[in-house]
Amino acid sequence: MGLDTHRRKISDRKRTSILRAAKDHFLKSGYTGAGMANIARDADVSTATLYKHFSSKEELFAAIVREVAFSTGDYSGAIGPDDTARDVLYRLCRIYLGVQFDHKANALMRVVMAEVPGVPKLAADMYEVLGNRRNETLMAVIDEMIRRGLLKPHDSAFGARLGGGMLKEVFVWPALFKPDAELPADADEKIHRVIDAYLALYGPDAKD
Amino acid sequence: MGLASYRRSVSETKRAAILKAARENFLNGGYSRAAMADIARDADVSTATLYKHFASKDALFAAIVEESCTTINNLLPTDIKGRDVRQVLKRFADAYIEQQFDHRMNELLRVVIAEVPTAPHLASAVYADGVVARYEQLTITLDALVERGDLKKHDTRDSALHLGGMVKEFVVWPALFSPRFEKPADLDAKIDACIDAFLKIYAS
Repeated sequence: MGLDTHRRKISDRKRTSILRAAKDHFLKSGYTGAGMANIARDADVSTATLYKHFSSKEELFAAIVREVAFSTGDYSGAIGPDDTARDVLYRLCRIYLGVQFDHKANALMRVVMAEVPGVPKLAADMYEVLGNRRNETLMAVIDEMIRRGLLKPHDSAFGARLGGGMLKEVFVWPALFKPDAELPADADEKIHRVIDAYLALYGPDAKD
Repeated sequence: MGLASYRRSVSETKRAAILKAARENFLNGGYSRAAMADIARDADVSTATLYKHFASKDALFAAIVEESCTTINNLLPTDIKGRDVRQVLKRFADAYIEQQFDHRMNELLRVVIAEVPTAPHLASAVYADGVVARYEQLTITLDALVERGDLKKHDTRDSALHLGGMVKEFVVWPALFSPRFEKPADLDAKIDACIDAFLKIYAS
């Protein structure tokens, strides 16, 4: 292993530990309450190193939100060769709910909402990532479904908002009002009723 | 006017001024940042008077929530008689949108959700008296439409969530992340599209 590779590896490891420590702090203390010095201490790096990776608290927070939304929320593998529309849609719903519940996007949304009066620009940027799900991997899967005839041709961006809106209402909306809310025991049934509604709109047998 | 009724009328005026000032402070800056001293100043009363009316910031906030939720429950009930299914749903959506924007429900929701980690009881009150109460109103209306034969027989508790979710996508979610989210210019077209989608799924 060359010296450069070694350095890059150490740098990546530090970045990961900074992101992990920062996420804990933001979720525990909120955006305003979280301090860069405390984050550096818990990540076991110097503040100089912290600032080398992220030049500001805002940049650090945005990096966490993007990581949650795009790395854990990567939909690209969600469509297999012999899948039915329902198989794929179910997987999409599960990936989304995993981001919201297991990777704490619900709690991150609350952190952002608390900062709307103080840091409105950050909140607006995060809405695009967290709230509006501008996720290319998701749209690519839906467009692929249309190509395969699993869904009727339609305005897929608008359709994703209707489908996403229903899913959010059933699962995310109630969870925002409770600390540490978990998915309900009958999550599968509820997911399938949202899928029923979405297929009535855009499925191969949907009315014109 | 007797002295007692004069006093009562002064007291009610002050109470109304306090509620108005408190609403501004809470909705603009959030619950934690709002200070009783600022609210008293904006309402043009002494802090002693403020505390005579509301023993704590918590009690004051609860009064705001109650006031908002009472407005909600008066606006929503929708008589289906003489209206077709689309008119009923549009009227319901319009009343809902009026609450979210004109009665600042979007901001109230954002404020209580932001406080969930520190003051979860604020959100649970709004959830019970606002969110759940509205679902119930919508379910009653949808049941009446099923009964009349406009909608097919289905579980209206689900479809109420589905309709609510589609509408919220355009009028509530963006507002939770923005200090001054205004009604979108194409709001009516968006609402019509949501109603079209709802009827495609659930019309008989």
